[in-house]
Amino acid sequence: MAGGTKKNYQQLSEELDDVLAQLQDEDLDVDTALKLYEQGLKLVGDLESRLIAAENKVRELKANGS
Amino acid sequence: MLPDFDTELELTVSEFVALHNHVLEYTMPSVVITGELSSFRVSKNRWVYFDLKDESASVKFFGTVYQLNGPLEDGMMLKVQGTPRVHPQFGFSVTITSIQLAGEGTIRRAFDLLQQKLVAEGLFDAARKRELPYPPERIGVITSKESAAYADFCKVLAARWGGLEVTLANVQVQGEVAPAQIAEAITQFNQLAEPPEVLVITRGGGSMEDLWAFNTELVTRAVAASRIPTLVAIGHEVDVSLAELAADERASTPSNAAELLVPDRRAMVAQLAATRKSLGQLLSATAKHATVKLTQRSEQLESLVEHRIAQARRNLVTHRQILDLLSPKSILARGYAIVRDELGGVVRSADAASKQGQLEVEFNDGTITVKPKEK
Repeated sequence: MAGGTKKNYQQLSEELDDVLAQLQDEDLDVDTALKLYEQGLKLVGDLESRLIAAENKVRELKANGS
Repeated sequence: MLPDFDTELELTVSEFVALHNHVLEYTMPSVVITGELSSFRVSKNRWVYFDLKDESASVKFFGTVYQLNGPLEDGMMLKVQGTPRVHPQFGFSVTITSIQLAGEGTIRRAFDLLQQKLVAEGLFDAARKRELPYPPERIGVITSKESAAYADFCKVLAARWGGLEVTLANVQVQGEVAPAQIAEAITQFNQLAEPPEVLVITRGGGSMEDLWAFNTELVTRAVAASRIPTLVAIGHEVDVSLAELAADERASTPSNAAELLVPDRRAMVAQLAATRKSLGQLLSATAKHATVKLTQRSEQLESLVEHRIAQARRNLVTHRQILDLLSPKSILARGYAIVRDELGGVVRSADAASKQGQLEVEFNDGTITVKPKEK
């Protein structure tokens, strides 16, 4: 993916909410709507792949001094 | 003359006190005494003085406020560990090492007192509560590694969500060292270069005495002071611990903490499928709306053009009427006539007409030829 920092689930989910909100505007022109639709589909796909992804990593905090 | 003391030992006062302390140190380096608290007082916000008594005796104690785990008041039952000694001026007392509350009644009372104090400070105010990130990616957990609470938390967490980074601070969750260890772990997490997004402080249920650490001022303040949002989950049915009141959010059990922290991925998959569908519906609604709008505009265009044509027609008729009015033909209709010579030239005067052999006179309905008579 482009960009250094990977977006977390919450950020992607908020982006999707934003796309849905924009798409609800009736006066949207069709070109923009199509772009938003594609962007929304991609976000759904990204979010789905996050859900299937990876197990939880567990490590232990090293105690200070003592 | 010196009085005749029948004794083997003759000492100065200082020597006597020093000897006494040596004997005490040797025979009783540390002692635990349980009794009822009386004459409790704090001096200069630093020094603590009180007595412990029973039906027939009373002993003085001395320590610092740092050894208190919360407010105390006379009448409480305490179990105090300390070192007995004789002070050169003030006599016998026990220097406090640690103080524990003894008995449910006293623990309850200490809880109430501390709660009142912290409520007054606003430590539990709703306005202080922060929202936990949902779902977080990095979680700090403070609990005992061997506990069922930790196992339950991890199990539920893994079943619901993936890709999380969980960092455990393994601490004792009960016993005398528990409060300091828990508070230290909270501080440590907060000092990490990349701290977790949420701190979960948890343990399973137990008696009020078992849960004591979570009712201490030290732990409660550490929870309240954490820059990382906190979720405290102590398994119990009745009482809510002070640490939970200070937390941004609380859960009833360790499993419940995991449930609050992350969504269930199965529910999310279903929700995403629904979202995919509604994206399609929204797009087709936009397309439909655009089509309707286009039709409206083409109708509008058509009616505008029709209007312009009709207008032009009306103008044409008007012009025609004006033209007709101005035409010479219409003047002839009003009774005038045009006189022309034989060559077709217009004759404009009687003098010119009299010189012609014959004249053509054009009326509205036709032309006649006439001969002029002489003037």
